[in-house]
Amino acid sequence: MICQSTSKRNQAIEEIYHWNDLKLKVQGHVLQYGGSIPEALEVYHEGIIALDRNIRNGKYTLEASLEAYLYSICRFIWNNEWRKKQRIANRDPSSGADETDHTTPEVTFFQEERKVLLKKVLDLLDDSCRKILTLWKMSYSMDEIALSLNLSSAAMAKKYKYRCMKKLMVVLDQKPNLLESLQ
Amino acid sequence: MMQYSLEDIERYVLRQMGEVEAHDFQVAMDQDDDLKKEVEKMHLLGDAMELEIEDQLRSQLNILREKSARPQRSKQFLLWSIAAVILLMLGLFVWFYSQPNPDLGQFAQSHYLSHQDIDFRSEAGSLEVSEGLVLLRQGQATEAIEWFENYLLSYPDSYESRFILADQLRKSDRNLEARDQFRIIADSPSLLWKEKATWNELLLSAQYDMDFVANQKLRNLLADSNHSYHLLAIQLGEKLDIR
Repeated sequence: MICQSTSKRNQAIEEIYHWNDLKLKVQGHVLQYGGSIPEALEVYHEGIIALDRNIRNGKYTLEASLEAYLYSICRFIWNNEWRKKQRIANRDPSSGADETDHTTPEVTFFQEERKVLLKKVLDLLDDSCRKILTLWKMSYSMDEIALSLNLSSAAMAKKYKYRCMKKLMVVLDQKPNLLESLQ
Repeated sequence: MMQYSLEDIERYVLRQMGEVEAHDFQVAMDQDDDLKKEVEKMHLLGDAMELEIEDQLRSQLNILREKSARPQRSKQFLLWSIAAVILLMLGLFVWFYSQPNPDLGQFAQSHYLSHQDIDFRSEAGSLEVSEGLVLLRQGQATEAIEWFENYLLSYPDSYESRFILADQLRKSDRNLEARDQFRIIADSPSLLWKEKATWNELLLSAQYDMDFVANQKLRNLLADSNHSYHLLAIQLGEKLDIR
């Protein structure tokens, strides 16, 4: 349902959101490890976002139930967050930064910087290209994209998609600094 | 570059190429900087769109969170409102039914027999109760009540004194105590005070506590057409819906 039409995707997301037993389980884990109820809800949100990404990218392989999979994602997210908080609380200023730590403030800063630059890339697209490429990235079929955007056929949707991609490629060539910053 | 189209680049990035095709593409990329650059741009496009999807999903989840919170608040408000209405209705009910019946009150007021209304003296001599009566004339009701209570400890069969005491208790709004004193006289052998005391007992019971004893006495009065207060008892019975 996540990779089907917009309405089915929204329905799926809403249903997952209302898995209250799972939400309480996640909340229990977060509270047990020093978090708060609002933080637990944030973790649940981020868990759903990660779940959505993994399903679309084919990383969820049906080995575990969806609930169990989502719970493990949420636990992973909170455990990382908790470790980060512990490191900040226990950091000894006299010791050097941990070079292998992927969640140092510097790494976080660069990740945030990259997001800002990627948003600049998105801003290079007009609304219709943004819509069509979003649906493409959500793994919708060309038929579904044509239906969502009131295009006459899957072939037309495919044509529009490549036109938008080409447009972006050309614009990126005209902004070498942006491209360089992102590499 | 351009043995490979945009579609090929997309298929490579999305890992939709077969093993051999992907290997050949990799080799071509290693030899062609332009192709490599196009592949990097395709990756960037994918990352940017992924960010867009995440932002949209985050907004959707925040909307769901708002919607979930709103019904809870509305629901709580509704439950509290219902509880408040029920309490209010209960309160009104209790208040309403604790109010004396005005019609009954008027009837009792007009047919109650106070000691002053009764124009005769009792079996006992008047001298014994004169001190109590003096206190009453002086307006010292509380002292008079205390005096009569003490007097009756020594002279329990002084029915007039007990009638005066009951009357004073009623005037002091000690209605159930008054009723109990009238009841003692009503159950006594006193010829002069028994019937009047019974009637006053019934009136006070009807207003403040129509217990089993009073109920039976009223029914007996209704059944006894020779009783002095039979006709008044019928009127009282109608007000109490006792026939």
